[in-house]
Amino acid sequence: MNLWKMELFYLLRSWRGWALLAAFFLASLLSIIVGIFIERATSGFSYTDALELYTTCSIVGTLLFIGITVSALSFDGNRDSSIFLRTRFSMKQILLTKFLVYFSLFEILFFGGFVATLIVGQLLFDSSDTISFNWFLWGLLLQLIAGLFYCALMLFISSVFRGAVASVLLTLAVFIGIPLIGLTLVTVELLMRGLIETPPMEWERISYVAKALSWWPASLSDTQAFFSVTQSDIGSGMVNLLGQSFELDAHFRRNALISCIVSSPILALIAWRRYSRREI
Amino acid sequence: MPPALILVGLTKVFGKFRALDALDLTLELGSIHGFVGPNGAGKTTMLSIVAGLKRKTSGEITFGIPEHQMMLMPDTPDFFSFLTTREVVDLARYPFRKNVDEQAVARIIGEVGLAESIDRRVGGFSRGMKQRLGLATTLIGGPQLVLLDEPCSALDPVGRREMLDTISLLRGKATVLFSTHILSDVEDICDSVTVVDHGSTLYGGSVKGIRKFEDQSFEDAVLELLQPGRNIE
Repeated sequence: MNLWKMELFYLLRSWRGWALLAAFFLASLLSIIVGIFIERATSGFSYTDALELYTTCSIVGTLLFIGITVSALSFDGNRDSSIFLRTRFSMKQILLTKFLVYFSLFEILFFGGFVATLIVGQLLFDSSDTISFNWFLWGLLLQLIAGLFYCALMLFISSVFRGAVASVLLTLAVFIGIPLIGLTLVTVELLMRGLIETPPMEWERISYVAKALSWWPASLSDTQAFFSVTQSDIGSGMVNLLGQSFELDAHFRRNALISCIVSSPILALIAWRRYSRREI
Repeated sequence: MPPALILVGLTKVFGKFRALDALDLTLELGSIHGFVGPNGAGKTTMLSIVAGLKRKTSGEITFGIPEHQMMLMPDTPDFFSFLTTREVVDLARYPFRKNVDEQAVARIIGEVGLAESIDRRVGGFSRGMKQRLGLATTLIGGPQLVLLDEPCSALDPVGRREMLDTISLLRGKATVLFSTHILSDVEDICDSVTVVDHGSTLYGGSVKGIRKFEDQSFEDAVLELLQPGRNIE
């Protein structure tokens, strides 16, 4: 028995692992079922539409993953089991194991659901407009970097509070709250400046708040749009993300990428120091 | 032989509260040392500092053994409820896997009286069973310094006797620092004792040496230290 196995048992011998698995499986299933209904109604549903739908549906799984990971990182919440770990393993071993297990798990589950949707979607729906493998790989790289930031931020927030509840709530508040507050502020700003009629794809060019928000590292996950870039998207130079069109640009969310690369190791380092210095 | 552990003037302050106030303690190598005092005397705080779970405010800690050869058993050990007894002890063995073979896991589980529950998940364990399991996880690595925080507090009389017998067997093989409220346990198995109150050492020395006169019981001697003048009337 080692820390890796312990983390896997923690997931697989409780509802947590199975609920995560179910969330991504259901996201895939839902995107296919909804696709079948749309296909019957309009005959205009392609497998890339199913992939976009999957990306949207998997947000539920992502939120569940955040809750489960943060509660696993709040191991100091139980003083006695924390003593068991801390007196036998170094903080580096404990945190690195949790970081890698949960990071890998999320990527495996997300891409497992993605591949399942891709295969079934190709069989059931229009697959004449194929996705670009190069754009997919670029999106995959950016998604992995965004995943590292997510894990580093969760590690940091878990190091601030001892208990799981406060950590989970703050993490969800940060991940959901910042984009929501940002969107509200952008709308208010555009209303005040009389620019509310501007198409949403132009907002980042004219809104000061949107420009500032482009540095929010978590917005790098918007590059999930690259997973389903088709040959016709390349031709038109546009890509869809959550129902909105954006210019197909390899530098899309460049600011978020920079802040991700800079902030992730800093957050992880601060978290490690806080965990190490915490008194039990 | 140098002592296994020397504490000089160990102090821990939480805000305005002095949990430990210049505490002194010397642990002879291979001995069993009792650490007694009322609730809030600073016993758990001292053990936590020695185990590296809390930082001292001031004072000196000197180890006569390698620091990684020390293990603490908390007063209410708790484990991961999704693991079995065997898995918990095997996880505790992991850092010492080069020196401790896998067969030691079942052996030590048997020694602490949990053989029948070896493949049972620990989630449903009583406090007494958790204390037995706590002892198994503490001893599996063969530590040279064993810190036990009230190891018998949740045990029935038979379990307590077995726990004391197991601790006694460590004499000469390891150094044991044993915190407890039960004075008869100290008298039974300890070679030396430290009595603390309000974070300060009131007595440190042999168990027999605490008596002021020959007929005085160990319990009376300790209580007289903690409540001076209680026998004056």
